[in-house]
Amino acid sequence: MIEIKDLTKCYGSFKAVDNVSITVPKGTIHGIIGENGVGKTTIIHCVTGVYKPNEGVVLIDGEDVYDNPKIKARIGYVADSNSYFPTYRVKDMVKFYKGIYQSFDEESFNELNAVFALPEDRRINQLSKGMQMRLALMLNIAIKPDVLVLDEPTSGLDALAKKQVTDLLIKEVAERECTILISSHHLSELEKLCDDITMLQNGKVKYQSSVEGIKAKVKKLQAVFSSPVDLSDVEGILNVEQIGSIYHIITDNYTQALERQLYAKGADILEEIGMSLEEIFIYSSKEQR
Amino acid sequence: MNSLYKNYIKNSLILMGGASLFSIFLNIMDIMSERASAVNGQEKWTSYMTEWSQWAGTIFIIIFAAIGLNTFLHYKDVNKKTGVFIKQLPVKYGNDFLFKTISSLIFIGVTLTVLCVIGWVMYSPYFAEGENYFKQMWDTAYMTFAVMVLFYSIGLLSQQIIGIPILAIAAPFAAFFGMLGSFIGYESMPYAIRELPIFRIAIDLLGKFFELICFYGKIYPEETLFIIWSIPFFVLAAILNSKIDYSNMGKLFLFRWCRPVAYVIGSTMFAFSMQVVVNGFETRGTAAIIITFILSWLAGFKIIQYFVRRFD
Repeated sequence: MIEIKDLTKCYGSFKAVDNVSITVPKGTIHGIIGENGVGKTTIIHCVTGVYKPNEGVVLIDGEDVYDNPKIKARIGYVADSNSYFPTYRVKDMVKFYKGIYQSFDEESFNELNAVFALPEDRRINQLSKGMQMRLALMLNIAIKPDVLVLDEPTSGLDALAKKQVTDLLIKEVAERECTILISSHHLSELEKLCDDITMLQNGKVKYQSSVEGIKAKVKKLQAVFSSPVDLSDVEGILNVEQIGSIYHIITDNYTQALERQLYAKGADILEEIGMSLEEIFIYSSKEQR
Repeated sequence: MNSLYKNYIKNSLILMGGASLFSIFLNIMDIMSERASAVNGQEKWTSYMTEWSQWAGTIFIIIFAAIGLNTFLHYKDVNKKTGVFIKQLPVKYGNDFLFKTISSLIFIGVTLTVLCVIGWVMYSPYFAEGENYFKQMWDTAYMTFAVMVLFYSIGLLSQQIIGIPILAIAAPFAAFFGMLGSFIGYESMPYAIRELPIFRIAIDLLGKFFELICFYGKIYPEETLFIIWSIPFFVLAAILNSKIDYSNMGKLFLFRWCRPVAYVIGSTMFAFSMQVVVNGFETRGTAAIIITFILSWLAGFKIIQYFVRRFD
């Protein structure tokens, strides 16, 4: 289980992450989403013990991660871009991982490589971005981690590889009850993959819930008004788009009170339309701007 | 030893190998030119031996240079994308402690260079006359500082590269006390014992052995004793090393004072240096000297703080 409690991380006077708390129960997948620069990678670096939090704590099964090799040995981390020694060959990295992680299972790595087909004699700096990502995934899955932390794991991958990675992650959770924390901009994938989602805004938690929970909270309403109307005084509206007499209203506070207010403003018809996670993200970001 | 350190040791060996080959090449060229001008066999022999001992000395310098370069490479990695990978690895890597002390060392290195330059300027003909008081102060402070830096550097660099902290901690102390003990002990040893045939033979034989394995020129009896003295320290260190978990070593008392020491000594030396430089241009009254000293001390402190924070 991952417990991020009241995490704050500053770079000088800039607060990158502000009092964020996330709990990821064992055997679940938790997604972190947000615009660029909202603190996703900073949180991930705190979870993997790269950064020491300024305030708060990151616990894995109740133990602090920072400067704790025992816990770090149970974490697999796939960064958003290659961070391995550039002149190493694939087989050198395997050897390196074998030396570092006692739990490294070379057989498992070879099985994965039978699918991903990476040339073992190729140097890291000669691999494409997608290949490097595959290598990182294979190495980190071969260490049989209890916790797998992934930062943009599907970036640079083709459609087939994306599918393979997604299937692999689901298999890890199903077979070994691996706990996964994942940050990605590919929200349609996260929507299918994650049990829970945390949406960040300016280093703070904007929404935190199950995917269905967030979808239930943020709604898109299609309303028809016979005459032009000003909705700026209605509370809980994130965004309004008007096409003629049809208004598309995005709200994160869909209640009967809101419905009453809209009818009072002259709405003839009010209809609820389903939203994808990606749409929710876009409208939430628009509101912020 | 974990894979991470093996990786850097491998790098070191590559660097050392390359540098050694280059050094051998230069020496062969030198020997050939010496031989060409040598008149007789004795001169040829002398030229061989001179070049050989020069080469042995070069190897030592190469080793230290390789360690330094490798430390640089490691920190270059750490401060780039690879650093994220290195820091998330489950290795005995007291990054909190190491970043702070190494950054302090970088500062010390920079300061040392500055001090050397200032020292060179001070002893230039422009300063030949007068200012003896400051020269004296300079000499004392500079020597103390240099010795301290030397001991710290040996320990910290060994730890960084070899990854065996206790051995590294023991090294400078073993060297320091071993050296003192050997010289004082040998000098104050009764003449009768020193001249005992068995003692002399043993020391001579060991000396020859050390000469052989160290690729070093003549090793004197004091130095032989010093090496013998140091061995138990290293063995003890190696045993302790296998028993200790270093994951929290940054919190140990022993390391806590590395940072304040670097701050205080670094700032004070910076202040001394500035004092000397400013005074070189214009002789001032006591109040001006005190103010310059305080301001320079604060400036030195801020510089160290900058480096420490940069790597924090």
